[in-house]
Amino acid sequence: MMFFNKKRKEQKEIDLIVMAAHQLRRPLSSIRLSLQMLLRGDFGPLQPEQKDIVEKINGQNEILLCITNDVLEMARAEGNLSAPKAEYVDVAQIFDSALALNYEEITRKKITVDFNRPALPRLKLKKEALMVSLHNIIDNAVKYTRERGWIKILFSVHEKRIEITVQDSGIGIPDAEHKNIFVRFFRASNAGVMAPGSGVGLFIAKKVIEANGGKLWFESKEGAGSTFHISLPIE
Amino acid sequence: MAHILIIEDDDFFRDLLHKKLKAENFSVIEAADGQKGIAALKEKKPDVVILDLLLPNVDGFEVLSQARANSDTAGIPIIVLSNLGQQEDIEKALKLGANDFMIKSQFDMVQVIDKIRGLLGKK
Repeated sequence: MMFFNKKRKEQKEIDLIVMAAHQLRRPLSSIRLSLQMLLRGDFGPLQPEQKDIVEKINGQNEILLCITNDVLEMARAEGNLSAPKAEYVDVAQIFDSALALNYEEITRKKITVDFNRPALPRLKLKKEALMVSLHNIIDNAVKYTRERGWIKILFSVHEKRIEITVQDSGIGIPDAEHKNIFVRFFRASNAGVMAPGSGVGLFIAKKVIEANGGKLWFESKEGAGSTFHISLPIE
Repeated sequence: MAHILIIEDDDFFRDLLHKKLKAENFSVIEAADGQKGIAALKEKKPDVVILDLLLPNVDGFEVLSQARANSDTAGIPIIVLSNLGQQEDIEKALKLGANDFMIKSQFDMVQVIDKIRGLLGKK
């Protein structure tokens, strides 16, 4: 009885976080739109000092939005992990949707994406949580790859597992920081120049992949890109 | 002059969209909930609709269903602009007949204007 009460309490806490994050996104989106319009001169030209401060406010707002989105994803992933049922999942389709969601940034930055969608066995996993974690890995690859860079996604099928490699030509991670990359709220020292972030994406990804019986590891060199490896069990 | 219907319950957001669209020489009609949105669709027959999903009275998914079920409004292009950005929400909206889906916390107003012009160009 105590176990079910604890589970119910955890679910209520997750529901509260999801609701709060949703409510926060509303005013933050309006603030974002109004700042965009201010910077574009829709309300008249800004003086240089005014432009400077509005740009700084815009930057801070983007960080708030990023944190809110990440908290929402983290709560959903946690909620899904404690869901009783695993579902059959098409992993290649998850990468399809992650790339589609990043289409505008990939196009804007002229990033070449090498993704041969193979036939893969369906895996029985916690689908929503896995989607969040794989999307995070693709989001990072896109975020931290400069203009005209590339991303390669490769699959290999073994007897009891599939392995996915996501390789990018991005900014890479400094050697001294590798050991912290999966620590909650940690961001590499060179990450901030590329994009805002909360530092929870890879923490969630590792937690979810491991909870699904898989593994997540990486190699990276600062200035020369990163390669993330994901191993997932075949039922 | 093209007529754009905004169905959005957030007063601030709706006001910003209205200002921007007007500055781009569109004529703008507003509806602050789903029920008023459906009424405005039938009565005004706008050229393009910008539709939020989380709406009071009748939600955006229901607005989509009713718009597509009515022969007078079935062909009106609808761009969903919502903070509901999960894959299943996007798929549901597109399946119900939305022409496009943009996430409020990530979109750029220039993209919305381009998409509106694109949809008007196809008519």
